[in-house]
Amino acid sequence: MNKFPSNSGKQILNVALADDDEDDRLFFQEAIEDISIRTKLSLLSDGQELMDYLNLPNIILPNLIFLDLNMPIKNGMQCLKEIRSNPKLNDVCIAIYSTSCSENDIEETFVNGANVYLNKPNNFSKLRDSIEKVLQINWQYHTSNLNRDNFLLRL
Amino acid sequence: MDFKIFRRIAQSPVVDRIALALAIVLLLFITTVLFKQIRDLEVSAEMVSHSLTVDKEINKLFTQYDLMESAEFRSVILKDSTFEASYIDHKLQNDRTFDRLYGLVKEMPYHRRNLDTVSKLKDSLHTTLTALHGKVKPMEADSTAMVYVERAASILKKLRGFKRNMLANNENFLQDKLVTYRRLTFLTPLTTLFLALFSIVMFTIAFFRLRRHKNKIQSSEALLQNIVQSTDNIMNYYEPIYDSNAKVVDFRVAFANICNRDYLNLEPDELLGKPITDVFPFVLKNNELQRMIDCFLENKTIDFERQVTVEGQQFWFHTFVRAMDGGILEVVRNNTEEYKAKENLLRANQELEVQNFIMSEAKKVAKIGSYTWYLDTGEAEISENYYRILGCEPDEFKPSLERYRSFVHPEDLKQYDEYGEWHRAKKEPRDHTYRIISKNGEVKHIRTKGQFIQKDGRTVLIGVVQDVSDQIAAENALRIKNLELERSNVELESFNRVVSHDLQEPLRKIQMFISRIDGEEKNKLSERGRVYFDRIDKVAARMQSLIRNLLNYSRIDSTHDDFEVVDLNSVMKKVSEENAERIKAEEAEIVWEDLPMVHGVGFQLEQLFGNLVSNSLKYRNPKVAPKIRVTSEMVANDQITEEFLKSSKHSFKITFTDNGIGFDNTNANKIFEVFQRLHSKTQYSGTGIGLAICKKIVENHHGYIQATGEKGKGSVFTIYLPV
Amino acid sequence: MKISVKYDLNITCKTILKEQLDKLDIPHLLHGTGEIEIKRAISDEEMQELFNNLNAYGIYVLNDQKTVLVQRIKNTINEMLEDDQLKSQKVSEYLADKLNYSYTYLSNLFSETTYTSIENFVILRKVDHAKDLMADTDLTLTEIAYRLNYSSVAHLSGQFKKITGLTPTKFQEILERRRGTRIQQTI
Repeated sequence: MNKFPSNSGKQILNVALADDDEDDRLFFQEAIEDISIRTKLSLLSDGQELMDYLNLPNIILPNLIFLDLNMPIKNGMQCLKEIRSNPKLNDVCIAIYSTSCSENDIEETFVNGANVYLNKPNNFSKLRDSIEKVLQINWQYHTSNLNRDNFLLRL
Repeated sequence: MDFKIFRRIAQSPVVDRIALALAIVLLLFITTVLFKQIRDLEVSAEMVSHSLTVDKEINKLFTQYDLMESAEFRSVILKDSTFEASYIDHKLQNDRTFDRLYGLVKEMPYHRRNLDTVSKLKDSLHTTLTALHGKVKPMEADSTAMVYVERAASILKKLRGFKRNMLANNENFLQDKLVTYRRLTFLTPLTTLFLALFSIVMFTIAFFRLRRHKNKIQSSEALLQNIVQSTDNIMNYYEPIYDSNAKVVDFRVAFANICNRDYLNLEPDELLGKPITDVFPFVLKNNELQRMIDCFLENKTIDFERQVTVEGQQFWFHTFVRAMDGGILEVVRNNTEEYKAKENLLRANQELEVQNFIMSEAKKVAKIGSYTWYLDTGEAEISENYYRILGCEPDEFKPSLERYRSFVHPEDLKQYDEYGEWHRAKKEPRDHTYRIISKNGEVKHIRTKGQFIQKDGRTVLIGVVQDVSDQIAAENALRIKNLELERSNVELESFNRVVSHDLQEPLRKIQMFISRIDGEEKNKLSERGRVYFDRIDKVAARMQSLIRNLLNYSRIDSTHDDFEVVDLNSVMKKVSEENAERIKAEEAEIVWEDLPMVHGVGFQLEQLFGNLVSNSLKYRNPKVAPKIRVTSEMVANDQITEEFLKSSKHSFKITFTDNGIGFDNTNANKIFEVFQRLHSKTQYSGTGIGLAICKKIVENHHGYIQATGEKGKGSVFTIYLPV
Repeated sequence: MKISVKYDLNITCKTILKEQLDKLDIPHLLHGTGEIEIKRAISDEEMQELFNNLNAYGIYVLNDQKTVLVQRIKNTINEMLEDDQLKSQKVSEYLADKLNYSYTYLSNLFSETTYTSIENFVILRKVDHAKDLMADTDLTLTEIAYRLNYSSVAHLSGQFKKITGLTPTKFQEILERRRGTRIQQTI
């Protein structure tokens, strides 16, 4: 990161989204752009692509990854487990972004290290609000000395 | 030995009687002897007194002679004639005395003889003296007078001699009588005393002996009485009653022991003197009375069984009747217990027969046969039904291992032999199923289980075989069905996935696009276009909620692998936490008390109670704060009137009560049906699947749910879950 | 083998700061966690060296006044929540009093910088504290609610659910299962 603290006062939040659905990626992008928090979004179309991206040398790791569960090649759960077993990616927060609202999925992902579980809403403004809340809280965890071990958020 | 005989004789009442008789005889003898002795004594005393009188009279007589002589002499001498009168007086007295004496000695010849002589002498004396008297008159002393005096003196002298003789004789006699008398006075009381003493002794002995004897008889009588009263048999003695033709027609109770009360509830004292036909009416049955009369008349003993009902209870009596002493003795033994035991035995035997029959029928129906195989000789016995299982008639062939092996299906023969070897080696019971081909070519599945036992020192294999062909066919059918079911379950699951993801995704996106248009873009539409657009929005939303609920419903799988012990208290805690916000907003109150631990799936039970809670909150009474109360109790299944499959003996009855708007009880079952709603869509939102999910969850937990409501008052959901 | 550790970031940071400042012989006084009072004038070179050294630990020196103030607000809130006596005081009054700014100013400044209102941050902070207590102690929810000055368990549960989307019980369950899987993985 910056060797010198930025004078602008606000850091840019690096966000990644892994989702195989093009429409969803589009919605997400539009929603995140609608939010006042300054972000840099990387879009990835499946799990494998995400893992490859994270393993790029000299990469600026995202602060927050939105992860769809139901993806071809490598699904969200696999990605989650891989990320959580990689010490290098310890600081990355993971938000599950899925249509599934099964309690089982929710609990399993939390147990395996997800920080946020966000159901894909069926309404754009809801999506925007949800993303905004996730970013806000994530921001707090990044900046306010909160215990990241206990960072669980269900939306 | 001899002593004993003596003792026995001594003790026998005959001896007593003889002794008594002897005593009486002796007494009589004594009395006689005594009487005689007293008489002797009397005689003796009389004789003595007689002798003394005689003695006195003799003296008197001879004295009078002297007096006469002297009186004569005096008159002679004195010439006094006065003396003559005195002489006559003396002479008269003397005559009287003589007569008296003569009377006294009538019986005494010696004295009589003497007296006769004395009488002669006396006469001569009189003569002499009278002669003298004549001489005297001239008053002269002449020699003649002197001769007379001389004569008189000699007579007197003679008389005196007689007197002496007589007195001496009388003295001797008296002495003699006195000796006799003395003897008698000494002997008589002594004998009497001795004999009286003897007889008193005899009497005393006899009295005591007789009394002892009587006591003995009395005590043996008391013993007999005791026996009669304390026996547990009825012992009655009857005397015959005769009619005018001297024919026995009935009996009268002469004795009845206490057992009459025990068995027949009749007071023995009240029976006495009454005809038996009155007090024992049952003797009129079965010709009993006649038999008793015959028994009496022919003097014999009879016995018979008699059944009597006393106060509704049946008794069986064995009765002996015996003629005795002009009456009959009846001894009645209560053998009800024996009789009942006998009857029970009989019935048990009959039941056993029936059971044996049922058993053999059951064997036929269940297609079970049994076998006994003596390992040492190879002999075997197989049951009739075993023959039938093999398609043979009973006893059609002599069973042996070799013969039996020929029935075993060739493909299973190797396995059968291996099993046999294993079985003989291990001597442990184990199931074995194999096929046989029966005589008529039918292939049957046979299951066998045998056990080795020691019988009369021989090792015997006993066991049962069952024709399980039907069972195996059914099992196969079931397995196929299960496979089909599994397949359809898999299909259902993939269908669920399709619905959940593949169908929901496009719909969600449609809604997303709708929401993207909603706003700026929407305003570009015409009025009508906007209306249509809103309609599209609503329909999409409804479709989404339908899909979601359907998904929830179908997701409640009925596999029980994940059953665990769930504390319903913590379930309720989670549910109220889950709904905390809404509960607060509605100002609702949820209470539950001491809910049980049940077997189930935690999140399903959470969903169950969550749905019930949200149902209650949704259909709340707007006028009062919602109040939900959950209680539980354990109930025995036989107390549950509702019909459902109960897998345990007891159930937890969980009652969920609210004070909402309630419902009409006629719709009680409808509310659990999928997509059934009691209210219009506009009145209450929802898809009508919440309670259907509840029902499915409860059924998945082998339970039962029902609802009762009262419009305007509230609803009660009753859930039964197995303990 | 893996071992679970828990560390107090405050102490860690303070220790590092103290070490680094002592190494450069800079007399100092630590105010809370986010402020250092330097007791003498230091040269630019010294300053640069300190910055560099601290950066290696992920500690950055804030030289923006607003950021510093926001940090002070946060620090003050933390102090408040950790001090039993201050718990019951009103946050707005205490902040205005302590930092010597009007609450409106502080509030606006805070929202602008952190995308969150002070009130929200207080709640977030309290819930975070509750999470710590749930995770690391055997305290019951009732005890935690009392300790964190909630009026009732329901109040705590409601706020917890609002902030995390999860009930406290569910949260505890997940944490327990996480530890369970971690231990399993370790084995």
